[in-house]
Amino acid sequence: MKRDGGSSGVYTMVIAVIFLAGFFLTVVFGALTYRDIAAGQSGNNEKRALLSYLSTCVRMNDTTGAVSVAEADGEPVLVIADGQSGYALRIYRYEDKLVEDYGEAQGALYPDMAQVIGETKEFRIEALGNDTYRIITDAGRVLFGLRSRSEEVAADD
Amino acid sequence: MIEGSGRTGGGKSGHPGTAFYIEALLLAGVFTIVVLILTRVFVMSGQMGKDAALLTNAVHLAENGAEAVASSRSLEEVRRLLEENGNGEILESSKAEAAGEAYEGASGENRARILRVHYDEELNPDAEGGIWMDIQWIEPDSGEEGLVKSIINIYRTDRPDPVYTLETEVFISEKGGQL
Repeated sequence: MKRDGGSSGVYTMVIAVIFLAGFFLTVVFGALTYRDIAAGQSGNNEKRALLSYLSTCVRMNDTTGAVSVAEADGEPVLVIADGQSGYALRIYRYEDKLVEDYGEAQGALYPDMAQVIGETKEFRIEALGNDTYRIITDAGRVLFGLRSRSEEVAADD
Repeated sequence: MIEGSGRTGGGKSGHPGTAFYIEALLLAGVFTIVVLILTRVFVMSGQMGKDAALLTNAVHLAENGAEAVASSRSLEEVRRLLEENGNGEILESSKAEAAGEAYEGASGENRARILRVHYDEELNPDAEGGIWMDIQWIEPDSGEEGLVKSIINIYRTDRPDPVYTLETEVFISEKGGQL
């Protein structure tokens, strides 16, 4: 029996197309998955940088009167004093970025020389009482209470 | 010799034979299995990525809860610090038990009180949000002063078990100090 060369050619083509389509779809799916994972990791890092960094800074310098909230050009500034040196870390928003600089606690800000912590269009500081503050950024909100006052109360006891 | 059983049909025609078709089908089957395995691996890795994001959020929520506990002398104060837009509620013992949740050591009335604070997927306060934080406030047995234990659980609607659990304790003195 003589085979039909046309139909076998089509068969071979179909097999090849299935292989190529499967390969292509697998690669595309893998690339999309990788993109999602990378975006998620980037988001996690951004969140940690924006939120955990703030509470870590406060924790490192939590002495009596070291943490205060100031205002510059209508924007809140978190001022964290560096011991009794008269200098402080100032954390504030500048051009949709959360930045940090180091200078005199009561002095002018230096946004052009500041270190960028992360991107955020929102930066609010709310005093909740009990020496507790809530900071709100695009990445979420972080709550921190100042321990220095508690230590004073305990020492008085 | 069986005619037409070779790769080229056993003749001089040059056309593929039965063996070629069978091999091609087998190859297609193996290829399909490999693609399915790879797809499954990709789906699993995608899910793990989402779980990592959820865990990051849960850890962050629990940190906030622990900070609120450390700054408070009662569950009501914790609620005042955490509640926004009416997203917090205190579950009394009967309601907590009715919810079918296991709270270890919840023997007395005060010990079973739980603050529940709801958030949406972006961790914004939302009274109807699918992510919530339960803060259990366990007062010491001996009077007002002592270590208050707090168990913080983060839940999500689609998960029966807590996404993250954090236990913390804070010393509360009768004179109002905390450590």
